[in-house]
Parts: sequence; structure tokens; C-alpha cells
Amino acid sequence: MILVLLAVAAGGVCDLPEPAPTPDAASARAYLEVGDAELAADSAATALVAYREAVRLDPANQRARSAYLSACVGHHRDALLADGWRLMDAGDCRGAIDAFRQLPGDPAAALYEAICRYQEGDDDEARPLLRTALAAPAYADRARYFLGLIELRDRSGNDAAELFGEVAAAGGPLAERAEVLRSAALRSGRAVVGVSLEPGYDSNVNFTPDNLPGSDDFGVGGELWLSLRPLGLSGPYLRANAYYRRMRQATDNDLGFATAQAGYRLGRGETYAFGDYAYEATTLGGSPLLYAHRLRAGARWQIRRFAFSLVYALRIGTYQTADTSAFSGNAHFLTPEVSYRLPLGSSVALGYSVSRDQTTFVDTSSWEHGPRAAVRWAFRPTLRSGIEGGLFFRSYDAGIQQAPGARFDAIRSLSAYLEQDIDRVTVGLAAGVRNSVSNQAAHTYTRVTATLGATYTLSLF
Amino acid sequence: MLRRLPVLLLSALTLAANSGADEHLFAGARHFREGRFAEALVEFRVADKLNAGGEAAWYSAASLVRLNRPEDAIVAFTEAERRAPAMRDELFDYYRAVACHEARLYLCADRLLAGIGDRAGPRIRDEALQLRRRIEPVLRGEPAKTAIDWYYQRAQQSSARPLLAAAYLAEGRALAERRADRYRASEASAR
Repeated sequence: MILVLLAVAAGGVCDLPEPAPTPDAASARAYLEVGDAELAADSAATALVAYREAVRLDPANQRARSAYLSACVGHHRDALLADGWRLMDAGDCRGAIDAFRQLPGDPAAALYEAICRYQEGDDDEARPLLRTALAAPAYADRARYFLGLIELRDRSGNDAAELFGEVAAAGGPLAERAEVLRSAALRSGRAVVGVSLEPGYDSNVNFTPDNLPGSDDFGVGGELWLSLRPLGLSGPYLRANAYYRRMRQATDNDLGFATAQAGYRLGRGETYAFGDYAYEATTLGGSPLLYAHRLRAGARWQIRRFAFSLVYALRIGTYQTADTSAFSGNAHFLTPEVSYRLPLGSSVALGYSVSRDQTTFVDTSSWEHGPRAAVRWAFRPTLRSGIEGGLFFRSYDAGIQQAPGARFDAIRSLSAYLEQDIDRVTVGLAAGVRNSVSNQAAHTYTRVTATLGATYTLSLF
Repeated sequence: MLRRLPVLLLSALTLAANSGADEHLFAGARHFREGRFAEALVEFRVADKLNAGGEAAWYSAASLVRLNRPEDAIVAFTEAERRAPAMRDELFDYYRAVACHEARLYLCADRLLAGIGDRAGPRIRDEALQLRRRIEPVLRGEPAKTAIDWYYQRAQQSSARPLLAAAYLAEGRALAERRADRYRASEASAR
């Protein structure tokens, strides 16, 4: 408070009044008493009038000076804070920061300036302000919460998880949200490893047409992955993963892939751009199926609760088997999406994807496009579900000799999941159905899958 | 005040201010006339401290009404009446009635407004009539038990300010007397 008092006084907001031509100590005492009574009656504005007059009439009266400065600071503090909040509500964070900066050392002003700084992406400016706010019990939870957000954005997952854990344990109004973020923080970091195990059922392992006996089977999938973001969320990133799904009977459909990816993200907030390169090797039945280079570039814009994203991807693939080699070529994907964010991390998204698979041959080159919609719903901070559906139309450039008409597939897909976070483990139940209707009977099929999996994620640093 | 305030204002403009309490009284009147009610209140309060006659207490109370502090005004009017009963006039009664009205002390307001006649001047008389018309539907019929409960509760909540608590208690008791079953009337008398 002393800091604030001195700062405001030094800043000219609470200059001492010009002394009266003739000092009047007796009247000054009366004004002082009136000021004290008004302050006791919670009427700071009237108290300020009285104290100011007391100082004017008796500048040497230390009690009057300190009472005046204290009342003045309190009066202007409220006005400056209210002004800052109004500007924040109006979306003028720059203006709000100017208002809050007039109260240096004040925990409330520090907190709200830090929130503005955080919103503007100035995390380094926000950190010391939040530490100032932490000192005041009334603002400590909110300060911890925003420090957690900064650490999370900086990919310091363990630090963020600890801060969110404290906010959640305090049980205040931010507790529920903090629990959600703690769960996310436990799974994020500058270096994160994860392992998952996922037994499941597949009703149609080899995409048998609907009019033929099915090829259902059970299998177990496992994945190991590593993610590195040495400079935090904004900056370079590396990711590697390996996946293998072993089928109980149809082992010729055992699927495996390994990917190594390097990229760069620009932007720590919800608005960012990125670009990356990945190399992917896929095996089927233990034999190489596809080697592919993948390039991606994209951007996301967040405007209040709405976000718009656009991602372009290029896959340069070489299929390794005789049956599939004709599908080698370049595939381009363009995916625009609009999403709306709801409380607790719930969201609704609508997108439309367009892709062009350009191979050497017309009968394996195709266009695909169609809409998709996804809903993610958080029942509790650590329990969520999601449902996603899409309708895609794939048309090949030409038919083959045995079936001269160009192949056309209409593909419908629907999937849903339910996930529960238990500390660093996520247990998930997922199910999906995919139905393809083609003008060529061999490509009309239905496939249902269901899995029950568990993932363990560890943030190394 | 209808008689005195213009006199005060005129004095402030035309006469050299006396020293001590009068000087602050005139300064308060000037602020009051110019709509600076916080400054007016401070000056009246200082005048009151420098002169124990009690005249400035009435003006302080009127300033509190203009500062939208009705409960403080009710206390201030009660104090002023105790200290300088001769100063009471119809304009002060009007201000006091406004304070009572704002504090939901409708019987108090109605009683004061009923006494305001032509002597208050045509403007205040008309405003008093209008305010009384607004109060009339509130007081029509038998008071609800919940209303009486509310006044007793406010009295309890105001126990640190006995004069205010007494005003709420008196209102509650008067309303209780207007009910056929005299709900909680004896309870109020016992306090």
C-alpha cells in the first residue's frame, strides 16, 4: 500500500493542495474529524473533500496529510480499477494496461494488467505482475491460475499442473476449470513421452464387400511416442511415434507405422501458424506398404469463442506392394474448419475437406470432398466424450478395363469416444462405423470398430 | 430551510462572511446551491463542530438526502431535532420525508408529508403531494406480515445505529398496529 501511495502521489494524481493564505489549525482539526467520520460511514468521496481542506488549512499537520493521501489513493484506485475493467470489457487491453499501470504495486491492478498481458501474448511481462498479485490472498487463486496458463503455454507442463492443482484444491470459482487444465498440463511439456495400449474389435479387417462373408477379428494396438518442444509452444518441435496393431487371426492385416516429424509453430496463443515435415513408414502384415513424405502448413485464428483454421497437407507416397503401387503419387489435402468453444473445453466444430490424390494413372487418381462435424463435450473436468461424423464423396478420374465406369464412392463415417483422465493415465472407450457405398460392388463395405484403451503420458520437463 | 436557505445563500453572496461557524455555514449553503453536496456536507459538519447550536445539523441532514444516503439522513435529522428542535420547518420535513421514503419508511414519510402545506412554497408543496400520492398505494390495505418482518429485521441489522434501528422498529410497530391481528405489535413494544 505504501508503494501505491507514493507512486500515485508522485504521479500527480494526489498532489497536496495549495496551502491556504492563512493557516487555521482549529478548523483543520474539525475537517479532519469530519473526514474520519465520513470514512467510518464508508463515504470515501466526502472524506476526501474534508481531508483535502484539512491539509489546505494546516499543511504541517502530518495526520491530515497522511489521511488525505490515503483517502485520495483509495478513491483513485477504485476509479482507475473501474476504468481498467471497463476498457477490458470493451476489448481495449492496451488502454486497460495504461489504467492499471497507474497503480504500481497494487495487487488487483497487477493481476488485471497481467491478464491483459497474457491475452496479448506478453508472458514475460505478465509473470512478475502475477507474482505481485500472489502476495494478496484475495487475488492469489486467480494469479496462480494465470501463471498456470502461462506455464502451460510455455509447455512447462509439470509447473502448470502444480499451479492448477493448487487452484483446484482451493475450491474457488476457478477450481473446476483448473482441474480441466491440470489434466491437460499433466499431458504437456517441452519433452513428453506417452505409451498406449488398445485392445479392440474390428468387424471388417480387410474391407470385405457387404455381400460377402465378413472378416471380423480382435486385435491389440500399442503406441509409443515422444514429443519435444525445446523453446515452448512457439518454436521448433520434433515428434516421433511408432504404432503396431496385432490381429488375433488375420495377421496378414497387422498394421504398423512409424513417423518422425519436425516442424515450427509461430504463436503461443490460440492464434498461430505452423509448418512441418514428416516421414512415415507403414507396414501391413509385417511387410512394407507405404513410405511417405508429409508436408503440412496451416494457421488458426481465434476470435473470442470462435476459431477458424485452415490446413494444407501434401503426402508424397510410394506404395511398396504390387497391388498398391499404382496408388503411389502426390495427395493434396485442404481442410478449413470453424469451431466454437464452450466451457470446460467443450467445443463444436464444422469443417469441409477437399483432397486430390494425383497418381500416375487415371483409375487411381481421385478427388475427395465432404463435410464433417465434431462435438466434444466435457461432463466433468476429467471426463469427456466426443462424437464426430462425416460424409465424403470420392470420385476417380476414370474406370478400369473390367469396369469402365469411373469409380465413385460415398463414404459415411461416425465415431464416438468416452475418456476419463486419472492423473497421468487416460482410459478411453471408442467406437466407430464406416460405410462406403460405391458404384463398384467390390468397394461397398461396412466396418465397425470398438476399442478400450489406456494411455500413460509423462512430461519429462 | 425554505425560509432560511435562501437567506443563507443571499448572505453568502452579499455579506462578508463571519468568522467561525457562520463562515462554514455560508460556504456549505453556496456548495449546496451549486449542487456540490459532498462539499456542502463537509462544510455544514465543520460548522456544526465549531458551533454546538445544532442549526448546521439540519443542513447536514438535507445534504445527506441529496447525496442519496437516506439512512444516514434519518439519523442526522433525528439528531438535529433533538439538538435544535426550533429549527425544524416544512422544507426540512420534506427532505426528511424523502429520506424516509428512500429507506422504505413509508408511514414516516407519509406523516411528514401530511404536514407540509402552503408555507413550504408552491414547488415543494406540489412535490410533497406527488410523493404522497406515490406512497398512498403502498399503505393501502392491511400490511403484509412479511413487510413487518422485514422492518424488524432491518431494526436488528441496524442495532449498531440505535436511532436508525428505532426508526425501523417504529415503522414496523406502526404497520403491525394497522393489522387486525396486531401481528408482532407487542413484540415491538417490549423492545
